[in-house]
Amino acid sequence: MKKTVWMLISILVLMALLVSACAPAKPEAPAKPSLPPGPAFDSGCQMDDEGTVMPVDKKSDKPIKIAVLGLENNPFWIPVKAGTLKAGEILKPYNVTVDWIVPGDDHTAKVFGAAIESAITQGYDAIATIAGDAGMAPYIDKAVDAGIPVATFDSETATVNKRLFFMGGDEYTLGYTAGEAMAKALNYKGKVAIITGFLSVEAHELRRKGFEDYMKEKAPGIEIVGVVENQDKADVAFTQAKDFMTAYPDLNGIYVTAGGPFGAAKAVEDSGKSGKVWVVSFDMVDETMEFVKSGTIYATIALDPFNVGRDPAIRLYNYLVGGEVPKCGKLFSKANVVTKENMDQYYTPSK
Amino acid sequence: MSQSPSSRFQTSLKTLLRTREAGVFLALVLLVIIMGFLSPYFLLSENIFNVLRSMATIAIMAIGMTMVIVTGGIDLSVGSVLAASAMLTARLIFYTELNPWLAVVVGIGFGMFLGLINGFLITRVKIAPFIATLGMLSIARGLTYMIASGLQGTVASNIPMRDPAVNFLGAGYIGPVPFPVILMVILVVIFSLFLKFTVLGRQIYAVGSNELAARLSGVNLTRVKLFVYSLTGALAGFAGILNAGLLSTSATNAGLGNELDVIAAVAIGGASLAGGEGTIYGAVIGAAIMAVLRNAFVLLKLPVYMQTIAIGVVIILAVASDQLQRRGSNRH
Repeated sequence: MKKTVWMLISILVLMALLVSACAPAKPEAPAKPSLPPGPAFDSGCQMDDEGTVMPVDKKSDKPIKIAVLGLENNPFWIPVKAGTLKAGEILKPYNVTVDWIVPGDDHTAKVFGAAIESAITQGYDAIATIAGDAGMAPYIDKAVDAGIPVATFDSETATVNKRLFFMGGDEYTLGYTAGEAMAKALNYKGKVAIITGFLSVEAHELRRKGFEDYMKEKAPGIEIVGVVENQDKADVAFTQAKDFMTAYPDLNGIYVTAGGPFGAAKAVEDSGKSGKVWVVSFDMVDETMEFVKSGTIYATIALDPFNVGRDPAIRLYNYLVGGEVPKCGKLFSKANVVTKENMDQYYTPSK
Repeated sequence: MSQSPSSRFQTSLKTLLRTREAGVFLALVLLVIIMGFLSPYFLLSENIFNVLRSMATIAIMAIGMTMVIVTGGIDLSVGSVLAASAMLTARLIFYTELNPWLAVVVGIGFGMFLGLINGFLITRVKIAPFIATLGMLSIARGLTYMIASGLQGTVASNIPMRDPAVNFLGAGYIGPVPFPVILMVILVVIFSLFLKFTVLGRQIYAVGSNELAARLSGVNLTRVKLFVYSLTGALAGFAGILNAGLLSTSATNAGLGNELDVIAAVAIGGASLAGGEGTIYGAVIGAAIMAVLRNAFVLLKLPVYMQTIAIGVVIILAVASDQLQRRGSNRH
């Protein structure tokens, strides 16, 4: 009997020992002590120091490693990568290495989630990653829970997670900026037609809404005479632009929210209305840029992908070492208004 | 219409009303009259030519599609074949020293080849036309991307069409008339005559009306079907050259979804999807109805979400008017 009691007691002690050994040693948990909490996930703003933000004036005592996870599956990524390499150069004197890592050639949580896990294992101190896939949220949280701050850039999921900040475009702001460019081209009065990509793509609808809101708020002298959907097709945009110019002989502008703006520009030239009808568009596709050069496209709106690659690593360093918390959860990258005058500064042809 | 002064006019009107396309033709006339009242710009010659130009590639593909549907088949691959042919031509002109007109011939030949594969799968492998051409829809689009990227693993992007003479096919004007409109008219007339007056043309209808009877009376079914699918591929390729010429660019997304417009044009034009009946003129009227409608979106300032509904409503109304007209004429 006594034997059995002793036996049970020793088993309990043994179990207690095992449990206490396995339980996380709480006081030692935070690898980076006293990191301040981040900004609210959904707050958004533009940074005045985009593309110019510099590291805090404080060299790290121990070496710091920052991983930037991106893609190289289309020409868009070339300047993004260049921006990240630049950040590495800037941070080098501060005892920091920045690694540009391409984990695969598609943008899925499977590929990028695994890359985050391996970055945790490899002892990176901070991670910046693209995160368009909702499946990324648990991986981001896992890194942050391990004491590694994570920033997202270019695109991110709407699923709330523990990332410190996001840097990239805001479709509504892009549309609003396009509205401003159009208003300037038209001197704040006239008639404008809208050719939108897909009604089913939220980004296109936000660009349309941003544009329309600008006109309502800042340029009431501009009338929007119609909206049609071109499904990103240039030949459809051509026909629609022709139709608009027929229906409104005094038309002054055509706003194309997504694909195929060169179709609309070509229609304007075909009708001999260059300089009377201005086109405002997005992105710096070669065909589009030819019409920016000829002046039929008054402006095309584009983000600066170099900054999107450059800033996250530096802001992560400032958070880690200087305790600087970004103003907002979403740092909206500036929309550049690329025109005939300044195009050389932003654009190099791909062919 | 009751007291027409000329009896000859009355007879010819009656003949016109008895034809298969009459109902849908009246629908088009009605649409044009309504548009003429609602918008002062609709009947301007410039606008009419815009509408005709915008329907040219659809109407040209509808020529082949009419024949395919008359044989009781369907071709879902035309939009993708259009893109693949144009991309091949653009690439040959842009990256090689090949004579541009030869590049055009190669492009159209490639379209014909893809059509021939459709025909082969349908006649020899006995795959249903819907499935065979659905497969080709995907294959030809994939080929478009591959040709665009040049197999070098770079990003598939649009290729410029660098020959002004070739581009004239799609972008040129003769006087005020867009050149693709002239090409469309020529092709429609040639192939309508072909269907009406050649043996092969009549055999196409025979196959669709009663395949067994046609075979027993000595029609080579395989030959007829290979012909219609190859021709449709070639016409899609030709439409692709016009489409790329218009903007001096061969786009990777060219023709995406066009198969539905082409099939709708043929169906609106009075063809039976069960085969045996349908005419090229009818299909052209069908394409015209849709082109006028899209023109109306802009001229009448239709709210954007309404436009998508309007297309569907008009397709249904046009076919319904055709049915009512037939029922009416059957009573006599």
